[in-house]
Amino acid sequence: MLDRLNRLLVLLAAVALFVVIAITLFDIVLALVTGRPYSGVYDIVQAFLAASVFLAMPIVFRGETNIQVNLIDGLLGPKARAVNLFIARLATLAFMIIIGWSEIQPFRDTILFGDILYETGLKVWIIWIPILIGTALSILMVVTTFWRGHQANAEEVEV
Amino acid sequence: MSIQAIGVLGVVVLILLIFLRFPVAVAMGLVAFVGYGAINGFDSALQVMGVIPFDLGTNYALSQLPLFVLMGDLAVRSGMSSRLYGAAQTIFTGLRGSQAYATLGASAGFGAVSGSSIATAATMTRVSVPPMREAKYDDRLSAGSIAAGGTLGILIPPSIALVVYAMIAEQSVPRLYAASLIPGIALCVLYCLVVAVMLKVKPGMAPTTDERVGFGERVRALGQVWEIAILFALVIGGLYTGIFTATEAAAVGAFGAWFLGVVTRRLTWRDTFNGFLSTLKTTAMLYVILIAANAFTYFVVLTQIPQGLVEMVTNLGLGPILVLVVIGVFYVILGCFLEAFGMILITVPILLPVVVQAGYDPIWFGVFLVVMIELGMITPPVGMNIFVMQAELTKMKLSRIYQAVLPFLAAPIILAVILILVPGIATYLPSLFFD
Repeated sequence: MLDRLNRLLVLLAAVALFVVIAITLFDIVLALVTGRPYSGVYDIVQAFLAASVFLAMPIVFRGETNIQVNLIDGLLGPKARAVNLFIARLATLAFMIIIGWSEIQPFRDTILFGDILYETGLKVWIIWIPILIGTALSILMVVTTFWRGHQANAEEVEV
Repeated sequence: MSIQAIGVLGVVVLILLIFLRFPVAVAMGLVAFVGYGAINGFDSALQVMGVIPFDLGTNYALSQLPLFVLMGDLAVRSGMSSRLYGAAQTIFTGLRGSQAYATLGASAGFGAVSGSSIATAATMTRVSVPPMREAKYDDRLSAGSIAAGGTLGILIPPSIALVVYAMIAEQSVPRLYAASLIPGIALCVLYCLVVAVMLKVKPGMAPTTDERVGFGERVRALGQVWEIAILFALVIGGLYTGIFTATEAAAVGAFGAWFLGVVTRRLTWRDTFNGFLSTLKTTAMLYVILIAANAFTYFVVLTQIPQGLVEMVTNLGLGPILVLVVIGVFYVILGCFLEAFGMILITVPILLPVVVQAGYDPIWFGVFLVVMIELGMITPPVGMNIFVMQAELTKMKLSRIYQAVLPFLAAPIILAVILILVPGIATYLPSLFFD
């Protein structure tokens, strides 16, 4: 179930990244042909970049592939290592909850004030949607790591 | 407790948490949140944390990050690295240790399409270890040249580390790419000199060869790397001449790598999709750390640690070169324990004002910093390139790889000294292209 969810998210993220490339190339070609760049390319790139990054974030937390410096594993026994890993996962959860919690107010503000992007008039709260989804699902993925046991950096989800 | 004391405590706790195996991003983010909250209140800390994901997620300049990663990934998948190694091997044929030189040359060439040291080291391990073993090269020479050569990936443009530095230090990516080109080539030459010295001292590390290749064949070998030459000319040439912005150059590079792979029938749709997948994972991981680092920068600025450091250095009356030497030594020590992005993100907000105060250009410092990071990537106990190599060469002991890499440490140290004494090798090209 979670793996399927991650597969879907990564697919959406890949599409978003493809749009970033396509729109940038379109802008270059248009500027070459007409001498005038396409108005709105900044906005579109920004919106799809956010989607590609945040929709791919849960898979990072699912696979526990965030950068770590492993200096103490060799010095710790199995029990101490398990405790260490548990605390690190707890800290990761706390960090992501803080991020998620802090995102709520600015998201509300964009709806309240009706913020829009300058070139396209795109409503800013729409860009917030993948950011919030990505953050919320990242929290969920961190929670699932507690059931994984003592093995850190378990196999990543194959897509 | 004074604000600066909270700042210093925060930095100490951060380093402690990183050593306790907390993810670097988590350690930075938590220290930043708690530290900022302790000084300005937790409501204010939440407000700061809340805007960072959106600001970074929609940062147009950062869109080049996944695009450059994708370009390098697709280049690997379409086998450009193997052809590069083959070409380099032909060019160096006849020299004792030709395959070690070829590894370094191919790493430099691969660095021109890949912005990652880890990708370069992993790719070159797969490509060059089997032929070197077959030719009975001493494992220390092959492992050393691969680990060292891998570091060229982040100095020769494009470079993901320089993009991250540009974001934190608010500097121009094209200028940084112009600044890092000559030092990147210089480092490759220095690594080759290390190989030459090693073979002078212990000729038995590489087999003798009586194979001869004519000049024409060497020139023809360059033809094998036409795709990399086209990509480099298009991306970096486009950047230097001002035809493309950094994001446009990155998009052209990603598309170019894919297009060349497809027209030469070396890249399948599955490769393309896997390239996207791997790129997205790398980018998301980098963003997590960027978000935390941004929060940490807010905290550091609030604590006024940089101003305190500037004041301290001014009061000590150290000359600019001495300041740089002290910073260099600090980075060598830090590099033993921290990985590349951690080093950039933690130290730049604190040390950049000191360097600027000492009269050095922030663009120059970006290059100097990357050279120090390269040193860190091959020094024990935390040498990311060495970990990557060991993952590929499971039968080779970590201690043996460290031993293999030791002589190569001389090259980035010499380059750092040259950079301090002759800053022009980094600042000449940016002023030539952009002033």
